[in-house]
Amino acid sequence: MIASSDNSARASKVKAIAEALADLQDGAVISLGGMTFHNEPAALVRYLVKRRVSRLTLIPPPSAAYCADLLIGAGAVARIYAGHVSFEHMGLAPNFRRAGELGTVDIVEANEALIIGGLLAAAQNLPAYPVSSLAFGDIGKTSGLIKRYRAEDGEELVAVKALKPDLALIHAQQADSFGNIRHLGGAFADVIMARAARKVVVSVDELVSPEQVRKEPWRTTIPGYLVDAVVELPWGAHPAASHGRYNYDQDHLRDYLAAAQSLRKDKESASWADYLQDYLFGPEDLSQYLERIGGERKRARLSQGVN
Amino acid sequence: MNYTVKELMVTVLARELNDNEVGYVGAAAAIPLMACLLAQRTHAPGLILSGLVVNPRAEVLFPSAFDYRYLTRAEAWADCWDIFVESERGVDFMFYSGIQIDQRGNVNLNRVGPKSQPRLQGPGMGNSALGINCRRFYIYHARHRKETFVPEVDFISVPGTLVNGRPRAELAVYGRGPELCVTPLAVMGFEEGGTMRVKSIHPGVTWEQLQQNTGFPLDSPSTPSVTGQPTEEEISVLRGIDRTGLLRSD
Repeated sequence: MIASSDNSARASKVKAIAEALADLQDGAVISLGGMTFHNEPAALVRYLVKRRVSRLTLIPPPSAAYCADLLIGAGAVARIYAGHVSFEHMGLAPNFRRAGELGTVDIVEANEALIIGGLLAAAQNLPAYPVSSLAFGDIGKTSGLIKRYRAEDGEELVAVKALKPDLALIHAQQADSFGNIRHLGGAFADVIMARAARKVVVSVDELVSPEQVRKEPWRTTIPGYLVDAVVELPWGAHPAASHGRYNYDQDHLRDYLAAAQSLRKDKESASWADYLQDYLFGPEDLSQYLERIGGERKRARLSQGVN
Repeated sequence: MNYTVKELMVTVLARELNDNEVGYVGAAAAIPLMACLLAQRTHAPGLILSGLVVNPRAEVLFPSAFDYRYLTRAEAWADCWDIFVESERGVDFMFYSGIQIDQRGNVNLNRVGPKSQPRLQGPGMGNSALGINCRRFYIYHARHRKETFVPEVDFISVPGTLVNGRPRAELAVYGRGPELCVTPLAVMGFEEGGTMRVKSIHPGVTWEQLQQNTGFPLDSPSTPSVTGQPTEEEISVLRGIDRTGLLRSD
């Protein structure tokens, strides 16, 4: 074994999920990593639902899916800055759609330019970030986030106000104990969110040694000083994909969609209540959840061809 | 030649794309993604399909745009910062679809009805900046229905031939907007600052059928031309990649 050049007193950032999210308050502004059903911080989000956190404001990725829809369906969301929210080829996001049609969640009509521009402003401690395209079309018009600056020579700049998350929840594939994060595939908006948020919690499929990180520093995607806590949650993105580790679970996502869609006909739908019981409130920990979704056989199938 | 209407739409779009151009396709976009891959394997080998994955050499068409398997043989990976910058800087082409499309080529993916109580809450538009900043964009829809092709959209996610009510030419620095609208029934074009006009009707489709399924009066050329059919080579290349038949269903 190679001797570590790190001082043995250097503190570890590895925490249990409850400890990592202990100070989260109702009404917090939360950013969600990943993109549609890829690299979603799904296990962290299920924990928030179990804890019955409420009145959240969500800053999801420009294309969001399971985590945003689940939090809305669980009644945890007051507002969402929504770009695109769907399950791509599997269809619309049922809870998001229903919340929009019933007016139960404040849906701020946003897009990639507004979300990423707003996060970049927060990351740079700027009040706003110039984004020319936001001057056109209807997106952002009613968001209250568009600002126009006029220079002394009369030139005008259109900008989006800073979107500052209290907490960014991110899922990546690997980290060391000092919080150095390694994405083995797409990093999406995760790096920007890590720089914009007040607090950053990352779940990873596996922990690697600091020596491993120092051997391949070019593979670190988020340096550890930006990260407050690392939670080791193998398969923590499920039912989303974890790039380079496992594919998304299409069968599970279709079951989820069917359960969520049933709320349209019946707001006391038993199949939605069953979904929450089976996969959120029932399992006491991640290993019970992993058994519930189909155990070793399911995991072997989802790993095929992607790792 | 036996082909599905989605395969026809793919070949129509593929023929529009030129060698060495750089374009984006967006999420949930099997038709435009396949059009780019087909163009690369026929007349446009230097075409660059950009996005979160730069130039995937996809051997198989996957339904999710962000599938890891697109990354494994790509030329580069990008993240949302790259996309954000590229979307403001502009590329050659982009593709858009919507829950409503109107005669001026405005695309709505956000909602039908007022914000206070929409009749349909749409999924929203991830990237609409490229509708402003790319040189041209293509509108497509897998269904051609009156409910989708409306006189005026309820919400402008991506502006068409007019931007904030003004012809794009007056805003000289921006992209020229919608180039074509391709549906299962026809191919429509746009006059600068103007409205949708039928360019060609697909084989076997009648003018009456097209007009009945469109919520606004279409300009009728005296003899509308018939959309060119896919060649055997195009279909063979296309099916070699669409191995699970995503484009075989109607």
